[in-house]
Amino acid sequence: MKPNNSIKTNNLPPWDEFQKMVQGIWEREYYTNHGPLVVDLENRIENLLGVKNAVCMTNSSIALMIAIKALDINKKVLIPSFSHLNIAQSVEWAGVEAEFGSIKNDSFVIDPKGIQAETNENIELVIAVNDFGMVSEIDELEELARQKNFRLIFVSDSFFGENYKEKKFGHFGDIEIFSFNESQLINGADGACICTSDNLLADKLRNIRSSYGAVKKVPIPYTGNGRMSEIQAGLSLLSLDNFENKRNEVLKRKNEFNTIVEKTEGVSIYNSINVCCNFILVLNCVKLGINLKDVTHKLKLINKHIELFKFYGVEIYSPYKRKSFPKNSLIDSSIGLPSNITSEEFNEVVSILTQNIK
Amino acid sequence: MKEKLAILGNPPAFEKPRSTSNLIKPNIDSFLNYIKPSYSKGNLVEDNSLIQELENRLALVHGSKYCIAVCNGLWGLVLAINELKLNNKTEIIMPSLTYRRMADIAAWLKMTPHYCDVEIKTLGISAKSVENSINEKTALILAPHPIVNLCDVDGLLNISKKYKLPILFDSVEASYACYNGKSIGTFGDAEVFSVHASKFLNGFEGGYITTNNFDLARKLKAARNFGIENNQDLITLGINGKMILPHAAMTMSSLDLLETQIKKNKLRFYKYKELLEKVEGIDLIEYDSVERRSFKNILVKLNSQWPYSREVTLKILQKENMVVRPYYFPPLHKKEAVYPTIIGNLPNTELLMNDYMLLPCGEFVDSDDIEIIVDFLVYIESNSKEIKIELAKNNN
Ligand SMILES: Cc1ncc(COP(=O)(O)O)c(C=O)c1O
Repeated sequence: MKPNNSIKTNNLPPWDEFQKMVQGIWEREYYTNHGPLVVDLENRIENLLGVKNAVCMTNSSIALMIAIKALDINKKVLIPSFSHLNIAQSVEWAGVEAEFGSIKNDSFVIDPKGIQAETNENIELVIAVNDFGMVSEIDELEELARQKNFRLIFVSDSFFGENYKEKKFGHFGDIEIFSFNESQLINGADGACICTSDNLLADKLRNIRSSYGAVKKVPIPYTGNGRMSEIQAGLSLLSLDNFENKRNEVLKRKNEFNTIVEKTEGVSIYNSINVCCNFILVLNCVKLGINLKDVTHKLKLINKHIELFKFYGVEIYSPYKRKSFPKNSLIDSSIGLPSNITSEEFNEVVSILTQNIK
Repeated sequence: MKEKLAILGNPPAFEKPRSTSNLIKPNIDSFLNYIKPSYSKGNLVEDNSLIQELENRLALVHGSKYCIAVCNGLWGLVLAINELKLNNKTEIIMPSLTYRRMADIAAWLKMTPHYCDVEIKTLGISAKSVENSINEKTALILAPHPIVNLCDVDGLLNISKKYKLPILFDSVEASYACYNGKSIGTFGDAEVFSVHASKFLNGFEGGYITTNNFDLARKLKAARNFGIENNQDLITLGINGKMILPHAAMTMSSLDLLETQIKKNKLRFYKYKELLEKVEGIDLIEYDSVERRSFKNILVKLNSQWPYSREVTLKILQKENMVVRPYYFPPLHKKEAVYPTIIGNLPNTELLMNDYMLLPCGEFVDSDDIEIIVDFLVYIESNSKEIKIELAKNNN
C-alpha cells in the first residue's frame, strides 16, 4: 500500500464493535422505517443536548430541504453568500428562491448588519451556517428574527455537543441541523439530525420524512424520503458512545497543531482551539510562495475532507459563477481541515504548504 | 367463530406480523466482507470501487450500459425527471393508481402531475390514456410498472416516439422482469429502482437508475453529488443523493441471493395459487409464465362472490397480524393536495380501485403461513353470514 493510503482519516468505531452492532440488526431483522436504533439515537440525542425533539434524516442536504418544507416557506430565503452550494440547492429544491446575504469581513458567517438592510417582507426565512469554528452572532440573529418576523434555521453541522454562551447547540433558531457525515465526530456514514423545541414542527418533519416514525398525522405540503437506515443509526450510536473520548482526543491534537503552527511562518489556526470541530488554517500565500490552486490536488490526497472552498459562493445554475469577496480577509487564503484530521496528516499539510520556504 | 376471529377479541392467527414487505436477509458474512475494505480505509461515503462494483453488477443484471446508485428511489426519480423533462414544460403524465408519493415527486420538481388511466388487463398505465393526456405542457411520461407483471412497454414507447416525449419507467416493482425476453432496465430514456428493505433487493435504503444514454448517466452521477462532476466541475443541479457504502454492501449481498430468492418466491406464489383455488371470492393475479418474473408480490382481486368489502376484509385480516394492504389506495386523484393536479378521465381507475389487495409475502412468510392465511380466508368466506352478524353486533 502507498503511504498515502495507510494514513487516511478513520473516525469509525473499531471493527468488532461495528460487527456486533450489525449482528444486532441481523437478529432483529429490522432494516429501516424508523427502526429501534433510530428511535434509540433520537432519544439519546434529545437527552444529550437537552432538546425536545431530535429527528434523524438521510443526510444534511435532504434534512435542510425537508426543514424548509416543514416551515412551509413560500417566499424567499436569505442564506450566507459564502456557503457550500448545497445550501442554495436545498432552498431551490424546496421550491423557493434564495437570496444571498452579506457575510462578515473576517469570517464566513452571515452579517446581522446586512440582514437589517437585506430583509424585507419577502424574506420568510434566514439560514445561518456555523462551521469551521465560525459561529454566527446567534443572539443578534434570534433577536432580529423576532423583530422582523422571519424564521431561522441554523446549520450547525460541526458543532454537535458544543456550547455557545453556556447553551448547547441544538437550541438555536426554529430549527438546528447537524450533519453526521463521516467528516464529523458523529459518523453515520452520512445522516443528519434536526433539532427543534417546536412539537408541531417536529411532527411535520416526521411526516415529511415518511410516515414511519410519524407520531401524529399533521398537515404538511407534501412528503419526501428522508429516512435514516438502521445501519446509519447504529454507526451514529457507536460514535455517541465514544463521544467524550473522541472529543478530548481532538482537543489534545488541536493543541499540538497550535504549537506546530506557532513555529511556522505564514500559517496560523483561525479559531479557538477549545471548540471541537473542523477548523480553518489561515495562509499567507505570498510569504509561503505558493498558489493554493497548485497544491489542491496534493492536499485532497492527504484527506478528502480537506476543504478548498471551491464550491462555496457559487451559483447553482450555469455558468456557475463564483462570487468575489474582495473585502473578506479569509476567502482565498484559507483551507478547512476536518476535526478528525490526524497528526500525520496535519504535518503533511503543513509541509506541502511550506514547501517553497526554507 | 367467536373463538376464532381476532377482530372479535380472540388471539391473532400470527403472533408476529406477516407483512407484504420482502425483507430478505442477506448473509451477514457476505455483508461484512463487502464493507470491510472501505471500512478499514475509513471511507463509507464515496464514489469508490464498491459503488462502481455495484453499479457494474446491476448494469449487467439489467443489460443496461450505465447504472447510477442513489440514496433512495424517491430522489432517484426526482433527479432523473429533472434531467429528462422537456424544458419549459410543466406536466408529468402518470397514473393515479400508483405509488402514494408519486405526485409529491412532481411537487418537489415544481411540476404538475397529470393523472391518466390504467388498463384493466395489466393495471399499468394505458398508452391510449397517455395519448389522450398529452398537451402542449407535457414534459415527460412517467410509467410505473404495476405490482405484478408489466405495463404495455411497446405501446408506451410508441407514444413517446410519436410525440417526441421523454419516458421514464419506475421499475421499482419490476426488478428482474423481462419484456419480450429483454431485461427491464433498458427501456425508455431511463428506469428507476429502489433497494429499500421492503423491495426485491434489500439495501437498507437506496435506489439506482439504469440507462443507455451516456450523457444522462454523466449528468446523474454529478447530480447525486451536488451537480459536481469528478470532484471538478459543476454541470447540473444536484443534491446529496449519494448511496452510502453500507447500503451498497447490503445490496451486493442481496444480489448474491438472487437465484435463491426467486426460488423461494416461486414456491410461495405457487403455494398460494394451489390453495387459493379453494377460495371462490378471491382471484390470484398470475405472473406471466413465459417471461422472467420475480414472483415477489402476491396480488389478489376480490371478485363479486367475495362476501365482504375490501375495507372490512383488510380490517379482519390485519387483526390477525396478516398485514395485508390495499393495492395503491387511495389513488392519487382522490388525495387532497396543496399543489395543482390535473385529473384526466379515469374510468378504469374508478372501477378497479377498491378491488385489489396484497397478501403477505417475503422472507417472513413460509409454506405453513400460507396455509394458515388461506385456511383463514376459506373460513371467513364460508362463515360469512354468522361473521357479519357478529361484526355488526360489535359495531365493525
Ligand atoms: C413504485 C415505487 N416507486 C418509487 C418508490 C420510492 O422508493 P424509495 O422508498 O427507495 O424512496 C417506491 C417505494 O415504495 C415505490 O413503490
